[in-house]
Amino acid sequence: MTTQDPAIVVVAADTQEPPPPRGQLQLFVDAFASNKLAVAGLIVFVLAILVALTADFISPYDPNAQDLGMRLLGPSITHWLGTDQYGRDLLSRVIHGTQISLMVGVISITVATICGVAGGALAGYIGGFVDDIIMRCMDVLLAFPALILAIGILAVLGPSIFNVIVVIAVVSTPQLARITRSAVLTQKEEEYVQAAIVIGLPMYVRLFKHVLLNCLAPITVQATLLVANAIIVETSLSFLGLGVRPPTPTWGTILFEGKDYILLGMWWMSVFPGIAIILAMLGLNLLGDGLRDALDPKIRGADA
Amino acid sequence: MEKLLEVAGLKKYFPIRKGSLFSRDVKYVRAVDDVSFDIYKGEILGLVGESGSGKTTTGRLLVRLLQATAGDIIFDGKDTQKMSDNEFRPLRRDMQFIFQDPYSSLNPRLTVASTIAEPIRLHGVATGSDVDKRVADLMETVGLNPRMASRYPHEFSGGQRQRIGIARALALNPKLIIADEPVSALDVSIQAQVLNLLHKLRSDFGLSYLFIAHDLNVVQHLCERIAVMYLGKLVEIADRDSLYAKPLHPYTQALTSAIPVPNPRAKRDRILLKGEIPSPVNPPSGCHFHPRCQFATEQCRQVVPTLKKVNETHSVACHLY
Repeated sequence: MTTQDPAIVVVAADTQEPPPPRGQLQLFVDAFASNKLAVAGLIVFVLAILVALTADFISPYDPNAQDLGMRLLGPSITHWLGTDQYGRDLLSRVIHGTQISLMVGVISITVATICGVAGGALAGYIGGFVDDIIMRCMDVLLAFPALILAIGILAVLGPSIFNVIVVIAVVSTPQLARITRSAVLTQKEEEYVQAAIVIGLPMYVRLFKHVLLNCLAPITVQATLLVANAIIVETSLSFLGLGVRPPTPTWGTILFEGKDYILLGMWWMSVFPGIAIILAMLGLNLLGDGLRDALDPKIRGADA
Repeated sequence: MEKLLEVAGLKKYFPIRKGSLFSRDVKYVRAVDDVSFDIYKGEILGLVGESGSGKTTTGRLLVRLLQATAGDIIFDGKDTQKMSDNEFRPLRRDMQFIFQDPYSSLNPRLTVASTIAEPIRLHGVATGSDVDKRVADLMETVGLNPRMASRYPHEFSGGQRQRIGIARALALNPKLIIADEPVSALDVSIQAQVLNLLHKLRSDFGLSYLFIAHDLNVVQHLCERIAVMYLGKLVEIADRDSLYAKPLHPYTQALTSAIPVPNPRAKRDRILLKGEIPSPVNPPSGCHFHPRCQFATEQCRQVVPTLKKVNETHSVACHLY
């Protein structure tokens, strides 16, 4: 930054063209980029997605190939993270676990976001009877702790990846519905929504173009944080044997298989998937916090 | 003169539930209680009253932001109260609204161009590249640089935002604009600019206005006729000159005596009203104004006064006349 005489700056500002318009997107990107922790979170998340997408190419071994001669080896040059009780390469398994864990997290929360936003928006915008019915259903779901409810549903449906996605979507929907409803309730009283009524805009256009567009910030933040939560739930379910069936690797199943060997000194089977989980959680939470700050014009501050 | 809008016996009661969960003791806030007035083509009717008098509610009832409890609103010969929302939609072209708060009346995520273009596209006033041209024309009409069309509301000052709101209201070539305290959120220096703009637009486009205000001073310069509301009822309606020269209702007298005059040495009798505006849930019996009126009689406490014509241009709801 060069310091300039303020008088010169004023003259220059008068004669210049007005500065190019800075859109909401530009403001958001600027605010997000200046938050180093948020950028770190984004990098971790993007890396995890890249690892998941290229899992078949970057993993050194087949994650399910057993080599009983190479059982329970510690980290080494040939097996960077060691091997498990069947001689499977742990690095390959953690990499492929990323695929399943992220897929479960992202798909289930996408489904939950669609259902939750639709339900919350209708409840908030229409109100009255519709609001009562939708939100009481959500309250019933919220009354159970998410994990207990998930275990209960899975016990009925039986364990499989598809069922895990369904269950996580079901337990996450009420949280998104609540956030959406409260955001819609605040926005629909704003005068620009009334202005949309006065020009004769139909109800559903008002709801999408005016109300929901201004509710994006809290919904995005909540969805990001819920992806982290979904990965934890998936991991917990797999750890309990209710999630993804072996031998398919997920962070939860690897952790589960490794727990018997920790006391025998074979720490790598639990520690490395654990680190993967912690990194993913940290990345997603930093990303969520960063999005919240960057999307909120009040926290974004001076540029309003 | 031809009537553009006729309002007759307009009522809006907001229900409030009192008491416990089980007793459904419903009471009503009588925000607008039997209000009747006309707006003629090309005129500016001022609607004044203090906060809580029901003037904003009246404006919102006219454009159906609120559903009236009872009464008739006849616009351009059509009875709008009997129409469904779909039947009413084409009429919205002719009846637009300017909001009080320029900070919340614009969607923060839409550019100025999309805000102004929205009604144009919706009602098919223009299509294709004509939309942009019309937006630019409108921005110029209200005194904004069309080059700023791609900007967002937060980049504008309060006065500029109110101009955007006015451009949006003009976009459909309406016959009637209901302006709900359009300048009360603005600095005094900007107020005059916006009032002059509204006045100019009236002659340029042949508009009629219902201009809602809480300030007789603002209304004096703009409106030909003025209606005064108190606690949901119209107490006086008259053309500007006779209202300011000879206010009849004691409430109007108190209001006009409160208008500041430029000469500090001028001797004036200010009428100071005692007490607060009563609750519209339990309005006083008889004339709603009697507890604060220095001329109140026994009749005022018991009989609700109706609007009486004192002469051709002046009507008042008071037992004194």
